[in-house]
Amino acid sequence: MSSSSDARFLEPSEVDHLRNELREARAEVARVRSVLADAIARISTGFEGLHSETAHHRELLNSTLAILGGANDGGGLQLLKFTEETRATLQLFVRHLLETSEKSMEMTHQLTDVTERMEDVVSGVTGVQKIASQTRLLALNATIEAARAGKAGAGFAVVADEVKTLASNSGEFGNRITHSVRAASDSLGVAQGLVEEIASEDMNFAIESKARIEEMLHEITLVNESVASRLAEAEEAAGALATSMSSAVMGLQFEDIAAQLLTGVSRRLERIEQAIGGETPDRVEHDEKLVHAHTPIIEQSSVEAGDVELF
Amino acid sequence: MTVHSYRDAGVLRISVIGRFDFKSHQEFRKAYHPTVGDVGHVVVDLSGTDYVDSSALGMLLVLRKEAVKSGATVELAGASDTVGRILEIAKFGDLFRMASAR
Repeated sequence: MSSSSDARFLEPSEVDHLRNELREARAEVARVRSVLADAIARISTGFEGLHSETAHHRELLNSTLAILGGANDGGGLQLLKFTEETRATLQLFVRHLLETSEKSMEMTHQLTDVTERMEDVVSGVTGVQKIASQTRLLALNATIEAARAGKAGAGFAVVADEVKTLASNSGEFGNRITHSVRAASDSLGVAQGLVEEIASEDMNFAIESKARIEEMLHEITLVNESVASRLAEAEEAAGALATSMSSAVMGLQFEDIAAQLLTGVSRRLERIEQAIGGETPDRVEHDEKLVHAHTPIIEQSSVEAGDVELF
Repeated sequence: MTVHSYRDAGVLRISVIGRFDFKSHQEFRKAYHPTVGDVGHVVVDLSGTDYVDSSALGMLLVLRKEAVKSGATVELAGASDTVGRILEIAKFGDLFRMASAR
């Protein structure tokens, strides 16, 4: 009350000067408001861009992880399936190899039996040849005895000669059989060698392949685990980023508070201006207006109070 | 490579010492053929076997085939780690009774 009575002692030029200052002050306050609003709008756009970039980045990360063998289902399972298929292929190969070896060994046993029978044939033929040579000896004796008998033994000499021819023929026949059987045995030996090659396979390849498959499975498990943990980390980081962004956006509410404060400042300046001009508003009304001007500012001063949904 | 075999109370025991490969085929077969029909159980002792190839596995399968025909069972015993691994890959556990190394 004393201040308003003091103002009455000011010179008219001083009042004009103060009025100009006040007008300038109000204009500056209005500029601050507009600069602030503009800056906030830019920052908000920036955050929106940041948010969509982050979401895109997250999508890219997820798809890359899926291709690399992510734990979610894509790559990891495919690698696992591939390894299982390789294992099944190895198993199939080993089974075929064993079937081949089994059949080959059966064939080997048969060939061995045939070779043994052939040896029997050879020893049979040897017996026949022995009989032939004994018969030849017998025929020779008969020839000698026939010569000794003179004319009476002439017919017998012919028979003895025939027997000799028969014996040497059967001996020759035996030789041919022996020769053929030996040739067949040699062929069987060659066949046996071929079967041996088919049947004999070093099994270490299977052990090594199996070990490699186990190793691969182990590595896939490790990769899956590490991918899963990286994925979790990435998700966590993305979540933290989202939280930071929404708290930053919440922080942007200061614009509202600042704008209201500035409105308050503007009003005060206006009232001072009016007071200087002599048009003093009713005191009670004036006080009420001041109270009303304060109320929303107090309500808004807590930024944390409302959750801000920017996006 | 040497193959020993003896029969005792209806069990035929065959031991293969050293390399068990194609060269063993005659000796190995003689150990059970044709008498395998007279026994109820065959034990192939592999504790002295240091190598098996696919032909040895084939021989064991042929032995099994003949034994099964006469109702006998076949057991593989005492295989070393290396030999055991090959028997495992061949899934012989599904076909033979397996007894671990002593």
